Amino acid sequence: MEVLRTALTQLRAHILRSMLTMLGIVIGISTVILVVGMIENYRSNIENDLSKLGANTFQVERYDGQAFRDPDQRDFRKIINREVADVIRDRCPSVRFVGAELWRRGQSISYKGEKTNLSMLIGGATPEFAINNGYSLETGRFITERDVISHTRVTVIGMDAVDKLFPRENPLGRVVRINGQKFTVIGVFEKQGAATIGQGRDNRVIIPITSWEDMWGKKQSANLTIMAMSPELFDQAQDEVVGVLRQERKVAPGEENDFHIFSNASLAETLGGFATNMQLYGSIFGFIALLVAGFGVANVMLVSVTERTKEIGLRKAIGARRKDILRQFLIEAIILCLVGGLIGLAAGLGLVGAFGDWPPSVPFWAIVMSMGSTILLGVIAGYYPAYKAANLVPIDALRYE
Amino acid sequence: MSSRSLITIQRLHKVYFLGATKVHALRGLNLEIKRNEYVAIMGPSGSGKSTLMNIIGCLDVPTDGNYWLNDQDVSSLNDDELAHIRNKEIGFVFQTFNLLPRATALHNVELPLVYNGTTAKDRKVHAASALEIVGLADRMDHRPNELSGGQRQRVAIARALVNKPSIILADEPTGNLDSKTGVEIMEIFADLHGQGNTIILVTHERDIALHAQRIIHIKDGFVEKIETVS
Repeated sequence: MEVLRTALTQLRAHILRSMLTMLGIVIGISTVILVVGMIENYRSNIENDLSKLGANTFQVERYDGQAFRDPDQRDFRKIINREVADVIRDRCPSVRFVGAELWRRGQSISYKGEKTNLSMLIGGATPEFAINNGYSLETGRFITERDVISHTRVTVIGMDAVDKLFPRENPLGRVVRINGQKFTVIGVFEKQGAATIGQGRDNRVIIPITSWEDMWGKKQSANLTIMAMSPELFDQAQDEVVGVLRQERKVAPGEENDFHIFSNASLAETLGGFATNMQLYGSIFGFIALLVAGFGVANVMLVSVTERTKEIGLRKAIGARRKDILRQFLIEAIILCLVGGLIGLAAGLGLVGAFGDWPPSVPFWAIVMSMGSTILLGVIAGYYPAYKAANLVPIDALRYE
Repeated sequence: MSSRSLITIQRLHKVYFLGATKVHALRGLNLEIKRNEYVAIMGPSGSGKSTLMNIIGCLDVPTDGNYWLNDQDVSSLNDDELAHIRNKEIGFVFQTFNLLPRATALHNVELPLVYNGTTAKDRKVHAASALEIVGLADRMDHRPNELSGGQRQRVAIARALVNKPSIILADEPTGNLDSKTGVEIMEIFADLHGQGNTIILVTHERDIALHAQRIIHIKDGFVEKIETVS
């Protein structure tokens, strides 16, 4: 207790010096907490997003790299015709639903002179779209097989469009303009919320795939979303789909697939690897900051020992043993580090909270580990100065000016 | 050895090296000091006076010879054992006071009790009564920079008293004080002696030394003469 009191007195007495010394620790710890916290946020959001994708569902696209695509590295591949969905439906017994989607980015839709900005994503879809992608309807109905066959001018819109165009009206039955054409609103998607990968999913505006092709043609590659019959048949369904696609697209045996399959598992793997890398780099940076801070702490403790030589001499003269002095200076170093660590922790949590959800969620192990490492840092950085102090000869120390 | 003496020093030698120079500071010195004596140690610089004081104060150990303090041979103890003896048996008063600048008078006086495991509550009680003895009951919460030189030295004396040591060892206690304040401090030592304390005063001022009952003159590592003050 007494030692703690002395340590805090010293810290306060040299407040500027202490703060400057602590800065490295504050930076190191807040970085580690920030990185770990952000990754945690990110991971839980991704898991959230992925579960929205619909259970047992995978997607087929022409190119891989949904999240991090690099156009330069693509070889040319022919488009995926949406009609291949029908072939899959006929020939893959483990597949429950096959949906085809065509997308048009950067669109605007309007209603009575009111326009959304160009952030709308217009999807031409088949009826399986909603279930395969995990969308539910707030009101109205989704596109049916009949809508697709008859090229109906109907649309199901997301919350972004509703908020902009129908702030006080029920959108059902209203006629909006998409690409200059009139479409009747037949349904509204439930609010999806923000997403970690890409944009949120509230900007989707879905029309029958045939109506989409009427406006934008048949030259665009379709995305297929495929749901397996059951979790057990998920791999089987993928194998069947790969087989059909290779045959339809005339891929020679031994050649690589000229299409890419995404599933929750493969996506989670990629993103998990990314998160692990971030965590690694963050930890390395934090570790380096702590290491540098350690030298600062050792230095400031050595200065403190020199400045307080006379005090050490006095303490020894009136009965302090080596271990009393050693303990005193070690605890001072630990307190210095720990206070820095706590400030860093608070700053880190604040930053995580500012960038993500409040209250910030940082895994308990990260807090324990970071505080543990500041204490360890205090012991390591403080040991030599404390040892030096403990071994001062009292008569010399008392005479020191 | 004599069991009646508080301090018995026999054939004390101290040799140390100052760089490459061998210094023979004490050359077979003998000395006895009885309980409740008031003794002054005098001598020119280089006489071995400071070395003797350091050994009496258990801050240093002799190269040869014996030193019994309170019937215990302390000539060959290790550092931590010496620290324990210093804490229990010796109350130091220094020329430069040596108070902790950021601690209150009370806290400064408590300090020796911190190192013998006295509880915080008892520390406060003992420290307060030691401060009362030196007449600083109303200055307990003051820091050294809020006290005069004489008051600081009185805090230091209270710190020396707080553990009820066998010896109060004062090294030039008036050296940093004006003569009027010095007289006040010497009065406190006289009072403490009157209350039964053993006091050893190290000084080079004859006026100060004359407050003691005996003056021990050190020269060239020996006791040159012992003068009894009438």
